[in-house]
Amino acid sequence: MIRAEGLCKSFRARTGRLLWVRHGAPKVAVDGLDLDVPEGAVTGLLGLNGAGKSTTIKMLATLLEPDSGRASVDGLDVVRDAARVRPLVNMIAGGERSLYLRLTARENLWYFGQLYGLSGGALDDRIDELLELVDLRAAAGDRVETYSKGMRQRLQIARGLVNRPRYLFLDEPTLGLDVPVARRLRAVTRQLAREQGCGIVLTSHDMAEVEELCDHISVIDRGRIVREGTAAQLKAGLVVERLTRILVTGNPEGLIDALRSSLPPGVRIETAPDERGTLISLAAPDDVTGAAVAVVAARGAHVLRAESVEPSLADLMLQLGGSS
Amino acid sequence: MSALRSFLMAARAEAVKEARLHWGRGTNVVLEAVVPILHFAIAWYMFAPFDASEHVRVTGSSREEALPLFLLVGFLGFYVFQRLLWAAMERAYRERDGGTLELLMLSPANRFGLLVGGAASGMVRATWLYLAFLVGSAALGHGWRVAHPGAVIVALLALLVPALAFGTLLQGFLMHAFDTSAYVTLSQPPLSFLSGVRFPVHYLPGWLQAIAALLPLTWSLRAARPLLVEAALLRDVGRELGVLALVSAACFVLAAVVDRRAEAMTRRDGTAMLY
Amino acid sequence: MRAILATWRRESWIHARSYRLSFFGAALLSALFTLLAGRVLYRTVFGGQVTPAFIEMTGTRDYMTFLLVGLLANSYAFRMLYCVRNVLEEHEMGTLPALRLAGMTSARFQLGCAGFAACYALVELFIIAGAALPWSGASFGMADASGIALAFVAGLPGLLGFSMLLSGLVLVVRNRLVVESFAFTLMALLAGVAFPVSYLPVPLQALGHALPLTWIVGMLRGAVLHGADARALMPEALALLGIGIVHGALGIFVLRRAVRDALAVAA
Repeated sequence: MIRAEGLCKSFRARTGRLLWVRHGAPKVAVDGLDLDVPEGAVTGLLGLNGAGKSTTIKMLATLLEPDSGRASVDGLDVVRDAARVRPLVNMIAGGERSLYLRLTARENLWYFGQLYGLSGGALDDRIDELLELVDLRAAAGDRVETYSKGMRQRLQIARGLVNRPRYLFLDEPTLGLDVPVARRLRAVTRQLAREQGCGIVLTSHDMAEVEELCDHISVIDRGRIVREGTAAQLKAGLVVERLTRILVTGNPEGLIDALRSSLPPGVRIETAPDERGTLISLAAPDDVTGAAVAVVAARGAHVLRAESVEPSLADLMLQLGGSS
Repeated sequence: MSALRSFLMAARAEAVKEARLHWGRGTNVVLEAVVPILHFAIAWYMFAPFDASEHVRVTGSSREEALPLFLLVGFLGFYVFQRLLWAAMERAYRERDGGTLELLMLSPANRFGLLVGGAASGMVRATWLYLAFLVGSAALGHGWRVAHPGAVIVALLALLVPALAFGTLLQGFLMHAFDTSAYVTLSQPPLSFLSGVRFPVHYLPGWLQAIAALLPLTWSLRAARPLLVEAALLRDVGRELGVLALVSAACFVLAAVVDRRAEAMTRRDGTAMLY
Repeated sequence: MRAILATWRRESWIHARSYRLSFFGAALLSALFTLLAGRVLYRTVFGGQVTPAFIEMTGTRDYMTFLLVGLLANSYAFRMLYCVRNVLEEHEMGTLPALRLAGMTSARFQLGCAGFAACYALVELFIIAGAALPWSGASFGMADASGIALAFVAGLPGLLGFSMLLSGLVLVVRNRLVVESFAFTLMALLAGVAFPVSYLPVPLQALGHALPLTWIVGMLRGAVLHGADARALMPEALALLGIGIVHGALGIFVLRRAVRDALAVAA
């Protein structure tokens, strides 16, 4: 278990050099954050840009020292016992950096494996296993500078797994990847958590990915956890308008007036012509799908399709963006 | 894993990685060998306006080949040190701009081993330079005066070990410098001037000699030249070898301290560029 | 003309905002420490004496002025040729296609960069000369201003043409450090920056005369050490112009092909 209690971190901009360094006013990145990351599960860390996600991950990974608070990995303090924590964790970030482009995939993995104390036949076997996992075996001898973006990201995954980490930090791992590669990465993530018991912290702006993978989600805003729970719990807690769409044949007269008089006040109604009839969109605080379909049917209109659009985590992010 | 094994693994991995990143470019032979040869030629011709019979004031020997040998050893030493400056600068840019510095800090790898490995690769990349030196040596072969074969090994160690120590210090220092190339480009001319590459240090004013005494290359050349050109015995250069051992040890210790402190500041401030 | 001036202006903005003092410091230190080394050799080691052969070759026993003039000429050429890296940098930044689409030709681009480089070089030369004269023992007492001016002015086309050739080579090799290090060091050797070229073997002397720096060094030394005026140096100036035209023609050919290939890679 990774446990963080009251983590705080501020940064001060530096200008000037050597004896003329000046520090600006401190900017709070993380402000009293509490977080638990269990093994064998995927924990999502959501937030807008600048909310403190990357700073939090870096503190848990021993890359940054908290100003105050505590964090531990399996009981080992990330500051005092950093050297013992590092073999237990690893990090994979999106984008094309963090690889040596003039080396081959095999050479990159060899090097990082050596840094984690692997050598000889054990390292060779591990490299083969990882290349197989990310489907790069055929290109293992080619320089990374010749790789596509998707291939580089797959190599990143392999690099992040070289030490069989107990905890893995995935910082926007599918950034810029095409659908098949992103899907494969998600499958690997699931496998790592479910089958290998790896505790995973995932940050992503892809809400569908977060909903698909995360067992638990913590939402960060301005350096603090503001909400947490499963995806369903978070969506249930959202105060957003429900959207209903009904496609009817023809253009039934008086239908809109009937809907306005039958449905609760405050429901917004819009219509638009559709090649098959008329599309009626209703936005309301509550789900009015059933009531609206009843009104339409009572007026003798034929309903071709009716759908209710559930609120999503994207709506949660939009709410956060509106309040920031 | 023991600390020694951890150190050796990290050093080897870093040296192999850096060497592979640098090696394989055909243009390296130009940089590593041809350009130093041109500089050597310029330095040699700079002596041409002065009476050749007076060159003994520089070389301590009236032999005709004494001057080219004097310069050859001087330039070998200087260029090894220069390669280490370049290696440290390039590694700093690559790890910081490439995003791999974070991964190094994330790993449990022995930090001192990484520094030594990076410096060692800087010496390996100078292979073409060594070849150029060997060719020059062969051309002037009749000029070398060595008391016994072991003196050659001691002379080379006197050049290479302090260079490795200096390079290790540079690896730690330059990794966290804002303007890495500034330190490199600004330090090369004084290094060449002060260390006795083109003329003995005792011709400098006293205060400059004091500065020169702080540079490892100064002592390396003071030890290597007598061993290779004047058939000096080990005891004749005992003081120089002693100073080199102390300076090398100091560089290694300082490298470890600087790197440890810099990494702690990086973790605290969130930036790897500290000064 | 507009494109040339725009490039000139762009270069001045870039240098004003991202300029590294270390670039200037490196050039200054390199010149000053070479001068220092020459002074130690001349004054301290060899007691201020040069050989009769040196006096006969150069027409002077004033070694320090001889050396300083060579170093100033070298600094001038170095700064003018610094823009050989610009085309490669445009390629690496990905701006080469945009420049080509905007109608920028290689010649205009180089002219714009060279214009800025010339201004910068002259400022740098004054600073180096100002820093060196008080202690080096060099003297410009006999110097002829018109001869000096002609040397720098005539050097412009010579160095511009050579810079085009080197720019093309840099783009072909995709490594500016190698081309610059090799070309600049070879130039310093063959042009006799720190010693009379007559010491070199004859074939190397002939090769040196294909380089603009050799002529600039010769003209400057003539103007400073012997008071040669512009009229007396006109034949050398015309030779520089001819060299510039030849190098420039060759350079445009190489640069065009190199840019075409680079654009194909970028595509």
